[in-house]
Amino acid sequence: MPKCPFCGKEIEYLHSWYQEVTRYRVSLDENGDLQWEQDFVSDSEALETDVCPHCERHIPIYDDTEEFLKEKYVVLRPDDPEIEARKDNFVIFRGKVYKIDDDESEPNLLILRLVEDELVADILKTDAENSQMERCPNVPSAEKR
Amino acid sequence: MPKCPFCGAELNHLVVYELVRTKHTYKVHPNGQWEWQYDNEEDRAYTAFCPECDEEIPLCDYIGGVEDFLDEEYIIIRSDDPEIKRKGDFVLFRGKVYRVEEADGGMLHLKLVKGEPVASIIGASLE
Repeated sequence: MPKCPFCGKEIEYLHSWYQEVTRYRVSLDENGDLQWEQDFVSDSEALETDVCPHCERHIPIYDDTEEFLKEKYVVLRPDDPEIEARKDNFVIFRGKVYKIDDDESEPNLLILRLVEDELVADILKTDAENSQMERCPNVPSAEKR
Repeated sequence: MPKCPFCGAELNHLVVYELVRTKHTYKVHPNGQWEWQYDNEEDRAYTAFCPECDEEIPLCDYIGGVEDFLDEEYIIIRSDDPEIKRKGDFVLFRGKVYRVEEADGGMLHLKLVKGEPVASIIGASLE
């Protein structure tokens, strides 16, 4: 299950807020009851999307919401304790290999994409297990897990 | 008929904008299926405007304010409006007695005093 890069909690779903504006002509009828005549409705507009249900912060997922929930697109703090190893543009997180996406708009976060090619992932993982990748502190090695 | 506190026009209706904020939930199930849920959690806010001068009538967000305003139970009026007579917290306007709820920036927010004996006594002292 993915986790929020801000509060660290596991995320099962994401929230989005939408806004719609309706204009009415409001008057009183002969009985003194309000009459609402709708004369305009705006399109539903996204106010804030991809919001963590726990801390209500926006997670920078862009159009990859489904991929994020399937853990194919991961957003983490660079010092996340679950990052097992990192070398150049690759990271091992929860036993899977991810490539770091360049995203200059989020300098304080790691944006990761799952390496889905099994062969490439295995080669990179083996590389990490042979300690050629930089081990991250406070994380048990792959052998101990 | 109520009147606009800004342009003085007699108003038989208001233009009201309703702003609805809705929370949606996006969920992916372990089998890969996804679903959108339209949550019932909604925020609604209302803003009323004079149809003649387009100024916002400061009725706060609650929808009862629109009905009370059109019913002349809650009115907003300039403190120097020639149609009012004021004594302390009470105002006589078009033969009805109102209590001052709020005085802000030269505007008086007035609530109709209900109960005939009370209104008559206060009205008599204001005449």
